[in-house]
Amino acid sequence: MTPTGSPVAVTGIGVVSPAGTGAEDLWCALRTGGTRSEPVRHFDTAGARVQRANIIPGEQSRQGAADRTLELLLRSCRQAMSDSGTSPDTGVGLIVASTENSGRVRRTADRSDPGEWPGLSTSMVGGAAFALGLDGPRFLVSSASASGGLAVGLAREMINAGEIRAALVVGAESVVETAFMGLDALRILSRDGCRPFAKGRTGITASEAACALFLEPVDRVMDGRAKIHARIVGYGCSNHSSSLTASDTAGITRSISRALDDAGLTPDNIDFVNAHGTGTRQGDDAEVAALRDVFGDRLGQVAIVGSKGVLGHCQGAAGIIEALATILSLVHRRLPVSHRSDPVDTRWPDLDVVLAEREAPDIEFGLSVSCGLGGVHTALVIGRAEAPS
Amino acid sequence: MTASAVLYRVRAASACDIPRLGGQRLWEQSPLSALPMYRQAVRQMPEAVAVCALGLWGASVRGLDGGRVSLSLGSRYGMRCVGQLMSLILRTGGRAELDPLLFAYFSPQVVTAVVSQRLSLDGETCTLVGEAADLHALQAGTRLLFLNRSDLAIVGAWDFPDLIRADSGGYEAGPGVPMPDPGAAHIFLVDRFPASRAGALRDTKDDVIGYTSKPRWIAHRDMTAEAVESLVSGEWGIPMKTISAIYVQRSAAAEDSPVIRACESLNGAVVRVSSSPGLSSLQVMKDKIETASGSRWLIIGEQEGGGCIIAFNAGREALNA
Repeated sequence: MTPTGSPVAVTGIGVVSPAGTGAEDLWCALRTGGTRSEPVRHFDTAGARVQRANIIPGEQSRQGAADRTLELLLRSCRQAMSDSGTSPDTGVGLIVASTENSGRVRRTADRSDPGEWPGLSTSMVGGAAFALGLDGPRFLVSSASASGGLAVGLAREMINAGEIRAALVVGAESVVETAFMGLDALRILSRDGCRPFAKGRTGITASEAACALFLEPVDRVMDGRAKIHARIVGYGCSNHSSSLTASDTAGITRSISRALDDAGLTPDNIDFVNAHGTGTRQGDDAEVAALRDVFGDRLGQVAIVGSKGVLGHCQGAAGIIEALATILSLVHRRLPVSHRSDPVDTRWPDLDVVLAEREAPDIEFGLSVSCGLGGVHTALVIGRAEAPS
Repeated sequence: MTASAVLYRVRAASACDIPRLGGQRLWEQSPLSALPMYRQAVRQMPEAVAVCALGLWGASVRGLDGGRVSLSLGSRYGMRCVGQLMSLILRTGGRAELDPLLFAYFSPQVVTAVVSQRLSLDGETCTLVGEAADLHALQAGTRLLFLNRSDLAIVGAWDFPDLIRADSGGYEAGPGVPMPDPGAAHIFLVDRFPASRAGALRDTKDDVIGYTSKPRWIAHRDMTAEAVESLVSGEWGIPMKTISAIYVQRSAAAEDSPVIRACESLNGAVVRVSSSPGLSSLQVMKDKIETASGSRWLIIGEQEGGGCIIAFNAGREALNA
């Protein structure tokens, strides 16, 4: 098959998450499960069914600060730029993914007061570009939990179209009152914590993170100036749903098929999937059905990893941090455990959910899937740094 | 026009006046005293945008594969209003008063989702938020056409204003700058010119109301008259002297504008400035494409932090001239 898009190289990575700071902390947590939820203290959770979330360590004193998400975003971006060896330059796009829509409305006698309503949608993107010394195109993608996957896909398209020479793609999200209480009202927060694809799964764990990837055209980094962690070789997106709140099997299937077509690959080329795996009954059902549609009888030979059992649901940042988890698997040639997935739902006896860490020296391509409220789905095909001969 | 220039046909345009839904001007009511009305408006708004798009879709498109139709929507404020409404409900009634389905409207993705559902679309999509999100959405749609990832791009912008600011003494886009027409949407159907795939759209030119370039980003520091002229004349193949007006959508935060300085030094073009950072670029595109005959103009959207995004648009007669 002929690819319809050109690969881009991931030359810089940065992350701040409940696992700690940096890719090594993240990889360690993905392998060992070293995170845990803790009580939310920075806003009033009275009346909520669930009162715990995954919080970035050492951040309790900063929780609730108006500029906290921007600060997390900048920390991850600086790591990624340093890792790539890139200095601020023209032609570097900044694509931010976030669903954050929060602040605190104060109430006076008979009127409401704007109070603080920072959000990421307005000045933070410009503020981030200014702080990082970037003067290329910048915008915010806000497509629910698929924002991260979409941002990576858009950045790749911008590079392929020759609009930018490189892109800094970053997802950033804090645990904030409105989203947390909204998820609680929808009754998809789990009291027991997220258990992707598990028999006893009951929902998601709210979480937070900032994760950045620096992307460049592969042919521009072949001179050895920069190391390549991995290559984004395919991207697919679909907006297909009959519901505003439920994932859609046909939409997920279509996004994966498009990503494979874009990469010029077939399902047989995919060695493992970093699934969206929210741990909700309906969401995991829809995703497994889609994977079955794509891989058919071969599904049992494709390893499935769900990262949300350890990371929680990082919302707008989820697509990027899970893409990074996929990249780290390719770099280390190991498949980390899908934490808290054991025992797997008995309706899927053929599903190869990774319940014990595996060495995987021969893996070439991983698939990272993201799904958002409203039926937006993305899939990224990610390949090892060196293209297969 | 040079042979190398790539332009895109704008098939149609429409708008809807969201705040007049239900016959009342929502923004004159306090959210505290009219919570049910606000909740209803939040649910109506995506449907109103979908109806707007559906009108164009039915009129212009026959038998196109929904998977090859992209949908790119921009919004200045996104669904900030829903977050504010939720916060207000939590302050006044607590978690027990929070309507579960309100959270389904928390993300601006909900508008894209409802439009997709109503038009049975299944192509690439994006929802962008912030300054100049309307021009970024236009760029996203034309980019997918350029890369042959879609045959038709639906692009547009909508805004649903900041509720609390409206309640606390007037809605303003910036200091002293009133926001015009809060709550509106503009939708366009865009395809390549010449069409990349024969038969993708009806083979009539009657509903082609104008042309647009793929927007291009120019950093503030590079925003000179020479750079604009080079882009317009060199890349797009449009003689600069034929540009009759430049519309600049100012950033609310910008105090000084190198964009305006650069534009004012361009020969001949009249510079018109809009201080609204919302969806005014596409509003200009709609208004001018529909009314202008034989004229060409530029639209420039500034963004805070230094930067702008620029597009060329022209009425049909301009291209044929």
